[in-house]
Amino acid sequence: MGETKPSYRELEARLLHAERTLRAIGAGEIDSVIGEKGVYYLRLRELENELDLNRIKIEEMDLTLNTLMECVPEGVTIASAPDVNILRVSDYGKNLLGKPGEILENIPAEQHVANWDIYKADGKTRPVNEDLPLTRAVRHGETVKDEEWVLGASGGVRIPIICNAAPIKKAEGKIIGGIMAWRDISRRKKAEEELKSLNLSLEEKVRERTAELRDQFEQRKYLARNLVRLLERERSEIAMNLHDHAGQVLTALRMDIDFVQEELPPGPATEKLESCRKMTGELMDFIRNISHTLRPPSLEKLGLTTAIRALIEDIKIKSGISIRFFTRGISRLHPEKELAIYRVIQESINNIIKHSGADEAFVNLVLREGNVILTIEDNGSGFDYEPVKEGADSQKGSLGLIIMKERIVQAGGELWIETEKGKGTLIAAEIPLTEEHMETEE
Amino acid sequence: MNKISQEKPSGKKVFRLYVTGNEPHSVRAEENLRKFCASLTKEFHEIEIVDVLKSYKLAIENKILLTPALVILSPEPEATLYGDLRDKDELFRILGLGEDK
Repeated sequence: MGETKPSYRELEARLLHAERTLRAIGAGEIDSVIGEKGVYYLRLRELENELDLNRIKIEEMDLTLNTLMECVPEGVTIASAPDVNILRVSDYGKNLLGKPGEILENIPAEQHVANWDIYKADGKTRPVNEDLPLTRAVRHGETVKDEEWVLGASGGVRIPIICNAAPIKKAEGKIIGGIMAWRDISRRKKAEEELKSLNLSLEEKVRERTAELRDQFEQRKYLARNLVRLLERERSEIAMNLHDHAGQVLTALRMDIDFVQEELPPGPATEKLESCRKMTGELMDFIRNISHTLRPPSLEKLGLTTAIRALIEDIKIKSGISIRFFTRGISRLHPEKELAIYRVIQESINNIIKHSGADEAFVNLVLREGNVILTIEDNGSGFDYEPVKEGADSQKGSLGLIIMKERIVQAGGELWIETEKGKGTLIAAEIPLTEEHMETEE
Repeated sequence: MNKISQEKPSGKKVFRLYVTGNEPHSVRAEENLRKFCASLTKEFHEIEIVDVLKSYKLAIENKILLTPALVILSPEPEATLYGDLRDKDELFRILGLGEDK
């Protein structure tokens, strides 16, 4: 059966129908298409609009990213997942390395180490690709913070960098890429090296200076110790010579005078001889006194406190200064300690007489908690101790103080001086008693 | 076959609107059709809504392949309009009512 030809009117109606259909489709007013198997939603215009919006967004984001990668003053590397293919490198990064994008970008993970010329922080060891921060971020989702690496730039220059890397994740956690920011730390490294070398040289200088000072200190200590020994030996020798030689000569002289005096008849000559005899006696007393001052025999024979009392009594008579002496608990000490204490008191009292203008002094020697405590105090003019303490004034009579100090140090103790101009002077010493030297009065 | 009544009283306007659920163009088409009918104060009219999500086979039987689709069953000749019926003038024209002024 042949098909009947449609009439003109029918054709016109179909055409009109087709036109309307097309117009509606063109206008995007269609919701769905109905097919044999069901209804198909159709939102072409909306989808197109959505697509347009997305395209605009993508373009804008692309522009933003481009600008960022051009302007950011950091090395920035972006890679895709899971292949860690490097998609973009910031211009700063490319310029820093002096390498074109063709070498640094669009390269798979296996080429990163070679193309980027990557070394570990020591600048010598080549890493494996799996160790690289960006690979770890993309493949294992690791966030890498402040890791040091070294990159080889053009011309063989090695640039130390500090890296931070993180994975780029979708909301559901899927890793779609990774980003790494890296910074040239050459200047910081250089500054650190300089500081290190400066510290080393400073430490070396401090060491040298310390050794120098220690040497000086030891030398000074040695000299002071020897000075005290020499002083005692000299004094002892002079005392001995005076006593043995001058004493004998004077004794012989007096015997001769006695002899001549007896042989001669009384007259002016014998009177002169009597005068000579008296002067010889005075000279003998004088020499004995000097000899005793230089080497106090009473110290050994009588003990420390009695010798001190005798010394003070003698000085009181000669100087007219009121000196009070108080002692408690002290008996025989080690001879070295006794001599040190005796000499400190002797030197201090001599200083008081010579320099202080004091009219009163107080010497205190006691045993307290196993220590011998000695203080010598006066009401004199005092003095500026700082320059003496610093050793700057050794030319002006501080040698006596240094020797005093050294005597006490050698006796195993310590000595302090407290003084101020116009406020008198206090000299204090503390000497610990060791078991074998403790013989105290109870 | 077609479940819709084939009786078409003379002068009566019978519309069948094929829609897809609450899709935006379908909803707009129904709104526009009802507005149009409301303007026909003196005319008797009937609107039938067919949701293709519930009976798409009816649409196929009646050769309706897109929605929204308005079939003017009466007055004859039968005509089909697609889209959201925003063009009221076209409806007037098809129904032979002239401008709605």
